[in-house]
Amino acid sequence: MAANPDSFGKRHLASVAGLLLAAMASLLLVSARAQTPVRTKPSPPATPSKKPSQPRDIEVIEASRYDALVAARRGKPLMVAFWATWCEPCRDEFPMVAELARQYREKGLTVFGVSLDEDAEAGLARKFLALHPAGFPNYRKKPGKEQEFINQVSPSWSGALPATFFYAKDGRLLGHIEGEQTRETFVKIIEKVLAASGN
Amino acid sequence: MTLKRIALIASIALIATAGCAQQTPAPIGTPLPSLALLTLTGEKTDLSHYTGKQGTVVIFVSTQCPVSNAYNERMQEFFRAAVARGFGVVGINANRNEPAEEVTRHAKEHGLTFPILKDEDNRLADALGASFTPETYVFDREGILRYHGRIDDRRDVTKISQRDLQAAVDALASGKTVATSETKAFGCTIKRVPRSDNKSGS
Repeated sequence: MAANPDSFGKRHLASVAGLLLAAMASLLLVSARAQTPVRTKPSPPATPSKKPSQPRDIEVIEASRYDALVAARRGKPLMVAFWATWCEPCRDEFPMVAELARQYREKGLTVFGVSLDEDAEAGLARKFLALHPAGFPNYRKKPGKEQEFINQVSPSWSGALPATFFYAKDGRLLGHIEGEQTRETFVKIIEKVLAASGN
Repeated sequence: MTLKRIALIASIALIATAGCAQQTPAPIGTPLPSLALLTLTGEKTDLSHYTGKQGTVVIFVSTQCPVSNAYNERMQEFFRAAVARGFGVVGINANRNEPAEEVTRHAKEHGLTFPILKDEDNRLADALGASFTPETYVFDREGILRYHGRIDDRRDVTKISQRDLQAAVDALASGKTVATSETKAFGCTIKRVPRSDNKSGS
């Protein structure tokens, strides 16, 4: 009889130890995964070549690349937000634009942003995007030839910021808005642009 | 297809009406507007008091816009040289969020000695189709618009390659035609008073 509880005790101990070992092993595995996501999951994070705390550099684009970026999004209605860190209403508006981009993504709206910051402000622009994650790609216009760029985007753009441009899904420019705008104005236009594109 | 086309036209119309800040620039050849403006001490005036024998330069300025502020020294230098050559130079502040007291303080702090007027209800900005700061208009000695646009092609003073405002003034001073009469640049939007206020007149 005594052997029974004894053997039970041994078996119990063994199973508890086994469970503990298994639990420790799984914990180790979980913590290992948590600590080294790059090793266990090779899919690239946002900044593969930089320290995780370093915001990614914004790709600098020339006028021809802008046209290519618009053309590459054909098939879906497109909104392009022009902003700069020196532009206060742009900074105010940006989180709202990011929210609208998220809100209308599933309805088919594609969005990208273009910063008009100078080279000396590139770091500020990068930090701004780190503070206000856009959820859509952003580029920075190569400084210089401002007038040519403005006229290429639209001859009716004065150059004033902020400015947001709307394209139909066939890539045609539908129009743009300049200066501070309310969320209501944005929503009205986005919904019309989506409706016109059959989305 | 037809419905879609109609919807598309409607959307363009909507963008046009919603984008109330978009202005149609006054065409070259427009006469100097004679509209009521205010001095920074509140007296009524108009542009006719600021004209020069050779012509008149109107610059829309801002106290808060970093682009306009990047041009403070350049505007002051331009003013000194242009006035010496017989041009009238006047700054216009049409921003609703920059009261006359702030404009006065800002001018003192930055050594701006050219006259600056308040365009309280944006009538001048609307008449000229001004959109951003700093945006300039050059009128000849007959008061006819001969140049509209940027001061120069770069905010970064070390990278300027075209001094368009200077070139326009140089041309007028020597009796020539302004070669490049319209230019554009990135700038801060003029913060206009809401349209309903504009109509009621304040």
